[in-house]
Amino acid sequence: MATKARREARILFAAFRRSRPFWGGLWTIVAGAWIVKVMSFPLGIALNGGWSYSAGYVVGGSLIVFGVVAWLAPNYRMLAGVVAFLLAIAAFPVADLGGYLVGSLLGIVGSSMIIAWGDKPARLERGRRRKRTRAA
Amino acid sequence: MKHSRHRDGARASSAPTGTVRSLAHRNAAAARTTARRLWDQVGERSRRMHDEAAGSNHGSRRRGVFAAGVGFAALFTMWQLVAANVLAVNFTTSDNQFGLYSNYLDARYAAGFLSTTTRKNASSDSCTQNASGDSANSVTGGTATNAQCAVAELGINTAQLAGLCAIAHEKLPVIGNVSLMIRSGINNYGGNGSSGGQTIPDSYSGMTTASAGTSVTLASGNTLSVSGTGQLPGTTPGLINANQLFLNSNALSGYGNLISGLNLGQNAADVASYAGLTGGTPGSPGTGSWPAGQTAPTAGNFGLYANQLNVAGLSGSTYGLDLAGNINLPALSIQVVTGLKGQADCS
Repeated sequence: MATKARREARILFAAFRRSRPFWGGLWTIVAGAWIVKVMSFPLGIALNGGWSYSAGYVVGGSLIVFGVVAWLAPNYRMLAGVVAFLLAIAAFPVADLGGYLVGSLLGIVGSSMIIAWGDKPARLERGRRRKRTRAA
Repeated sequence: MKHSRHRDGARASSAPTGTVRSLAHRNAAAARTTARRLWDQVGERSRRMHDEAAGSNHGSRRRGVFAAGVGFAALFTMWQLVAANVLAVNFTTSDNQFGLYSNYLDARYAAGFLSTTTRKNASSDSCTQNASGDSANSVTGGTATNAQCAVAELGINTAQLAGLCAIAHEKLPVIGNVSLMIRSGINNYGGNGSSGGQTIPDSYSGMTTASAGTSVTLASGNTLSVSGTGQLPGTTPGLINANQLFLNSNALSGYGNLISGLNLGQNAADVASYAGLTGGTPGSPGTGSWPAGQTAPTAGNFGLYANQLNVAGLSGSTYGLDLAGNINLPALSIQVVTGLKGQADCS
């Protein structure tokens, strides 16, 4: 029974993973969470302390949101990806050098994967195309 | 139902209970229907997801490499702009204790007072493990979470620094201790004929006071040219400029070089005004304040104010660095290295 449930969960997760930009969204969420962690201040200070204190929550939180959007609404992946891409770059000057660079780098990789996600040509077709290119 | 209630008195008296029961029954049925509908929707959705996953070959295509390349190029350009003193960045830290070192701090209009602050991770003996300030619970030889720490809040209106090195330690799972090192400024201040030099001197002992228009000899033996009033001239190579810089420190040491207008024991409530902090005008009481989020000092408490505070060989242990203004970080370098690094590793 438990094995069957585990198997079903695995199949469901595989279907979830294959039908949306899963890895891109994951890296984007990780990037956002890292930026929030690096610039985590007590909420009271973040709300009253101005942009220097709230930037991490705003930029990091937005990256998390757009990563989740890419997961839950894959049809809007291009919009989510482009906005996450811009946020990851903007994190560098505004949020402790983009979470000591790690957040910005992860965000750029993740959002690029979201932007580039879509139908891939079948392997056979790819092989044929390569052969054609070589022959030319 | 309604008709029978009128016919039978005994049943009519129990009618409210019956109505409640019937309502509960109806609600339960409605809830069951909604749950079934939701479950069906979930099932339908996952079936669709299965079909979608099975019927197509989705994934990140090669064009992603191009997008990532553009992103890395943009990041690299910004890095160069920061390092070239063109782009200013927002850099604010809190909670983690970190070491802050500089060859020379030239602070114009500085103010300070004593305060307490709550920190997520604290290992200093100026911290306690509870909010009552009980010294019996001071944190010694360990790390406490959400500790109350005694700190000196320092605010500097305009600061110029020759070399900056900040080191924070973090313990990561699997990897163990790692140090985050942020360095800026240049390695060689020259003046003594040596080709090399140290960004940060190991100690401030042995330094000499600058006389007008000459230079400060750093512990490394190198010299740093300063103006007659001990200020760093704008021509200093790799000069770091910051304004509205706030430090949350429990230990600072250095060689005080040409300090002027120092007032120790000034009313703590006034010092921010005198220093023109957060949008104020220096020397104009009533115009400056501590940044939002900072607990305001109590009137009559100990305060510190200095017109000019020049410190060579600055070494500090801080909990927070807040820039209400901007900072330029020429020759910026960020490194994450394994092990617990210290001041000597800055050079």
